[in-house]
Amino acid sequence: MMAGSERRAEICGLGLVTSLGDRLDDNLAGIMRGAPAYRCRTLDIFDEPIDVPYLPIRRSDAAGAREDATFASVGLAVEHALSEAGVEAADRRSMPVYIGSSSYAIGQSEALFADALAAGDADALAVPLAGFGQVSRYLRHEHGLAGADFLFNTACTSSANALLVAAAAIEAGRCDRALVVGVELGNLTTLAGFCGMQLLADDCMRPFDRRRNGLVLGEGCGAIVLRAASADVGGVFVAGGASGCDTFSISTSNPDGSRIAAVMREALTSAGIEVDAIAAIKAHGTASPMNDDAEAAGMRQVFADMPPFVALKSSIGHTLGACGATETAFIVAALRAGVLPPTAGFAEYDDRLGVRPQVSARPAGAGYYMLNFFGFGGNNASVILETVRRAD
Amino acid sequence: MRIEVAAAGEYYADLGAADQLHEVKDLRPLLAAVCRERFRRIDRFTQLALLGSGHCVRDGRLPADTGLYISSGFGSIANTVNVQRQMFIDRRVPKPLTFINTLSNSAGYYVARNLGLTARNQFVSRDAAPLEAALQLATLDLVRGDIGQALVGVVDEASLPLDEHARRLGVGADVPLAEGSHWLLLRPAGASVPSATLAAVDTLADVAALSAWFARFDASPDARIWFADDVSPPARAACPMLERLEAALGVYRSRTAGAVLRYLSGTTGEELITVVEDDGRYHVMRFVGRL
Amino acid sequence: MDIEALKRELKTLVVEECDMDIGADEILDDEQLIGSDCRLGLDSLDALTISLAVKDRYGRHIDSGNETRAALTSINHLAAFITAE
Repeated sequence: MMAGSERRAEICGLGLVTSLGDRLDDNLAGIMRGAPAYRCRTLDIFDEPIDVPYLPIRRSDAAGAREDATFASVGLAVEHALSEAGVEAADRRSMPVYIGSSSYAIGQSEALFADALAAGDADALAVPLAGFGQVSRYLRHEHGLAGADFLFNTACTSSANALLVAAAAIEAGRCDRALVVGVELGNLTTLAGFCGMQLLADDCMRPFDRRRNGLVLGEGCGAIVLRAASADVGGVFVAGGASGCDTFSISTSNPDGSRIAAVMREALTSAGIEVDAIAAIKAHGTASPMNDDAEAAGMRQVFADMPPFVALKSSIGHTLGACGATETAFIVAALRAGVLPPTAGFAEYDDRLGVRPQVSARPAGAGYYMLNFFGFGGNNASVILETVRRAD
Repeated sequence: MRIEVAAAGEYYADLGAADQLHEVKDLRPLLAAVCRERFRRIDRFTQLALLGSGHCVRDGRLPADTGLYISSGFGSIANTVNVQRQMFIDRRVPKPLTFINTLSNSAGYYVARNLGLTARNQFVSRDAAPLEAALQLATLDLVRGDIGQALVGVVDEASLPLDEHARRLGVGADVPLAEGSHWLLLRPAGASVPSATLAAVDTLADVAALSAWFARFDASPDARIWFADDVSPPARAACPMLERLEAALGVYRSRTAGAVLRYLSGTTGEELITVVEDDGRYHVMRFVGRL
Repeated sequence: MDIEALKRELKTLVVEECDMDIGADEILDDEQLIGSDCRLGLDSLDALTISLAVKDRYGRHIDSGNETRAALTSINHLAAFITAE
């Protein structure tokens, strides 16, 4: 166990803009409710139009939808997190920014290309916004966040990796504060790409359920502020974590779960805890047939007695590169409220998986929580959070 | 902790200017020499990553606690362009393989598989300073002892047609372009004196911070050289004692990494300092010694 | 098109779509295509790629159900699936 006086990364600010709303309390209320309101999006640009279920960001202000083209939803989540953490304008200049996204500004790039084609521009340029820097430049110019930026692009583990690296930087004394941002904004490449991969559900997500048939994509931005603190004061801390690489297959985890189990064990070691210290798990839970297989197998290898576990993607959609930040923010918000959110969409037990997620909310106290994230390209990450009661 | 540069290797190609050249070299014949297996379905970005990393890790073997860090300015740009053209011009859903290859970490998957790596596998970018971002990550993990060594690569491909690629890079059609995959193997310096070390990699907020950073070094201009791209006059004035490294590289986003590799394997200078200006900030690196 | 010509065409399709090293004529008519336990060793991503190419070229849809999925067993199965009424 880490000594209380050690320098640790405390989560001291949260911001969420997702399909459940654009304020933290709306998001917490939504995740506790469970069942999401799926929308349908028609990809009508193709010769054969395709209908896909989708969970777009819901903004309470009328300007929201229009502003998304300028990363306004990212800015909103970031401002909420910075404000809660009490970060002053002067601190923003030096605070490092760790961003995770699978798509960055690809949606803006698509729109520019499509507009140029529609205008009959003979020199229409595909991918006019090359590179990954558009979101961090926006945060630098519009929100004064001028510190070193790290732009992670490891598919669905992008912002989980960003969170782990930010926490490591704080523990090592490289910075006293760090901002972690997960960004996934609507774009055709992702929707059509997942559709072409035949990974999308027909209607809704049923994680770990016998009838699971794929995922629903979600739009979302999550922001988390970390600061150096001692555990003596109480709060929610990043207690450890691990990031590993599974070279079994480019598109699926090793179905035997061995690499997933390995990264979970490594995360436990890094937190200095035994397996029975885990109070609950937030699973990755994509509800795609093969990935739930591998994840269930991995969890069963590590946990002889399975702790309660939940999956959140069936409530907010799969926010891909943002899910490390969005789902961590949801869990932290819930833990602060003393609860573990429910898993939406699960009803029928699958004896081939041998696991059963929590379908109703339950109380959550002080202790260790494991959050798992897995992605294309064999990237696996496991984050351990610790909640320490504040001394009143 | 002193960080040793244990090995370096690369693939680099001058392409000439967009208005003269209309194709890029087929890399497939070169791959057999560095790959343990014949990887099917890989794109050019991954091919470049395999070539560069293969030339850095010559015997093809690394300890299990090696972290992999790949960076890039543009990532798998040719594939991303293909996907957008397939969607908006051909009005077709992108093929699964093409879509998978647009993900930057596909290259990391194949490099890890080729070298038998299972530890952390990061892809991290930064607009003007991809190598600096990757090195900041790798040195953090080395200093914390999370990994025993770090394999760090910066990869940028040219996409066709080259005149469009030049527009994305913001240069004219008459400017010589290049592509490259530059790799370093880093580890904590042991008891013996290493021939080359990474002495610093920092991000500085403004010119004042840059001047202060330079002020830490004594002025021994003979031994020290520097490389900088598009640095503004105030920044140039901050480091007047340094001699410019003429790296003679074409334009691509990984150019600074190309300069570092040329210095490390060259014969000139005892130290290299690089400065990259990026939106008012400065990213600096300092390498001492050569391989 | 006669069935032998279709099989030759399918072998070329498989080799090209899956970026294989062997010549199209080296694939046997009844040889297993998918699985790490067979010589050709194609995986689920190859299966998906072949399915989409078959749909594009022949208008026949191989979905994830067991019946049509069996079409990917071998070149013989694939040819029979495409020519079935």
